[in-house]
Amino acid sequence: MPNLSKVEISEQKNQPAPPALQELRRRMFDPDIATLTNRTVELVFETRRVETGQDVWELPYALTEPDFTYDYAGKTWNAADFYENTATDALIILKDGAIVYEKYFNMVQPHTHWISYSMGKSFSAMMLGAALKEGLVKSIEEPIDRYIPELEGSAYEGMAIRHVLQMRSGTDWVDYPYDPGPARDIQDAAFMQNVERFYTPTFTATKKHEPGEVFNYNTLESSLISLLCARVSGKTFSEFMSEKLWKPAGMESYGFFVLDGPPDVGFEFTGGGFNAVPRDYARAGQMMLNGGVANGHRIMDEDYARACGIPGSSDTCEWNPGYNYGYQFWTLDGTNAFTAIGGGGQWIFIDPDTRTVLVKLSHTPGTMPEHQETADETHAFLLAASAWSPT
Amino acid sequence: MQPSNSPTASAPASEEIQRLRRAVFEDENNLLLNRSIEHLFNVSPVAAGDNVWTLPRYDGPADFTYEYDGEVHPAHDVIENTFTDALIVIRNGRVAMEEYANFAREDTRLLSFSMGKILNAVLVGLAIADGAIQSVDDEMTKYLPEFRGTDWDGTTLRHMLLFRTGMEWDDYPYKPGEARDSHENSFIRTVAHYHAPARNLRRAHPPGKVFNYSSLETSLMGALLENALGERLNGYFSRRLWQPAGMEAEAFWVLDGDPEMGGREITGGTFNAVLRDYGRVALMLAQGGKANGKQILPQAWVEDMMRPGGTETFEMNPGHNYGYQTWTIDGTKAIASIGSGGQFLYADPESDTAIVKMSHAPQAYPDFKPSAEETQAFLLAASAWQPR
Repeated sequence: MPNLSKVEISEQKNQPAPPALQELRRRMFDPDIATLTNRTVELVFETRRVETGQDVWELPYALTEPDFTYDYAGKTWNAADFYENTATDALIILKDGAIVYEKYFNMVQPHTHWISYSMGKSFSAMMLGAALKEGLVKSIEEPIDRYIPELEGSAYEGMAIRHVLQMRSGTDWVDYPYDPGPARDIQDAAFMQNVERFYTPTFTATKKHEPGEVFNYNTLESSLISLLCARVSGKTFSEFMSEKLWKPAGMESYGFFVLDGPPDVGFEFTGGGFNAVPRDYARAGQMMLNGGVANGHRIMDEDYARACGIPGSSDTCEWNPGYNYGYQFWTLDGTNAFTAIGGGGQWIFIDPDTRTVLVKLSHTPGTMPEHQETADETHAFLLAASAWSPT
Repeated sequence: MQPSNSPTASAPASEEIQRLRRAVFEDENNLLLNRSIEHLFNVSPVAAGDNVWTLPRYDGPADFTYEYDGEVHPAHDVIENTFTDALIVIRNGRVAMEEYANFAREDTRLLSFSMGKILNAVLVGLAIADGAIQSVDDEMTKYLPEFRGTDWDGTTLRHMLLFRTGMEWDDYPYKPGEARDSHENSFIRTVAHYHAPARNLRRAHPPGKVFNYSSLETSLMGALLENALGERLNGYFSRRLWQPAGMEAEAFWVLDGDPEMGGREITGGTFNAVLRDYGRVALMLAQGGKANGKQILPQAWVEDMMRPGGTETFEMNPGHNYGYQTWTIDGTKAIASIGSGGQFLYADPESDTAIVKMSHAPQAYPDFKPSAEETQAFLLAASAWQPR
């Protein structure tokens, strides 16, 4: 019997967030103010910090001007065109572990905490890697309900953690929160109103496909991965992440998660509500490039770190063409590169073949089709930046 | 140092930041705007010192009522009814109510809008006490010589402080016009001072006669003060008020551009501080210029500040007249400095009351009016209340 944690799912209902705050939170995605809302999450949402330590991982600098071009929409562009075309707020490029380019836009600063959106999902996979290394979880082939008994009776009963990690659970769920439906309802109840735990719809999930067969992007499943980590560690997810990643990796500032309720009952929104300073996102990317080693500390096993970037199948993603999915990371078809991607143009790109890490933080529209246009241009830029050899 | 009345030579803010600033000034974003100014603008810090002015407290509940629109309300109704984010009531030098809403906290620095105009009058008082300005009856051209020979001749500092210069200016920034242009050029684009058009203004009335609310004149007073003092306002204000008065947190003004390139504090309405420090300013004014056990501002100057400049009634703010950069309340010795979006700094020497309320109410008249009237009813009731 695994050691289930003291962090039990709370049945306690809390007061809803004040109406004026709820309204403001719902405008978070308004493109007119997104560059501000993406940097002021801590002023508006329930949050919990991921504390850092004293021993900062110093990233060496080898600064140069990005003098490469990229092709997009039938035109050749200079690297500098990219920043403006895709509403960039911060851009960091590392080659061989050294920062070769670092630039901030729109009054963002190196100390500005910026929201991850769905890049946070990749952090839940990193922490599962840490839990495996610590022996808190034996294997991703174990059934997930061994650690989260509330899943018994749902489509997740008896399901290997792997399928959840790869978003191949086969459960019936449409994850697009920009349209009316269950995904928007639970997002609103959890994060705007603070009256539901975000992961609760998984407890009654129904089966649509056999586990492992079909990829279906599902933000709730990132929450299950992090709930699992919290359970086996006996800590809040933030404390676990602070101890096993943020402090040993030598992050320069704290991170923080949006919660789905006040700190006494709220759970971390790992699927989309992590916040960190730009260089700390870069450190996380460099750790993945290093096969799970950060600041001289092994955070997860090398095999697991590599597996994060291996696609779960050979079929390309229908709505994200050119990409497949590993362990809570997107993989780029035809390359060994993989990337965390968050709505509004957040990227931590990792290419082991060229020893490149690239962080891009942005405020592009999250909705289709505008999102797709900037995503396509970013894809072109990433490949060019990866191929680029600074002189 | 660039002279403060020169145009800023700053590069304009990026198109993206300009768009953002315009969008965030919409009423629906007030709640966020009022607490996130430093993420959006270049700012000028006003440092606090180490010797914090401790405010003792009453333990009892806020068990008073106020009457508004024919209804009797318990005191706490003012929080939700008037878009309140932070409220402090200080009676007899003791905190009787301190409330935060919508995730504002005791360390949240909140934008004061025109409530902060009164700080210009505090600065002039300090500058006179220090001898940097000889008299409030000096002509403004003594400190802004490039205004000599313009329609400003004959205008004194007192006229400026009372908004009775007689200069032509339509201050309403919520529609197209000269005030909107000044707002755009200073806040949004950061290419010119708010008061850039001042020198070319025409005289409409003789000095001292007619009241005309003018953020341009407040901004110009900031430039005048810097010339008279020969130093940047943020450092002076820190040394002469923020540190000796024992403020607990750094405050800041918004700059209209890079200070190295001539950007300066927009003193017409961009001051940001934590709630309790605004409370300390109000308390200092209610207690005749004393703060943290020291006479910071001469008592006679505080009395002058709080005396109305006339007896007429204004459609814009009935029941009020105007002293030195603050509204006065008819039939009382109290003042209420008021800023867009429901910012109130109230000081009543007679009942020894200091109240500050920070809010995210609609910015423009007439939407601003109902919550302003309800707040005024609350202010008067709170000054009549005897806390325990």
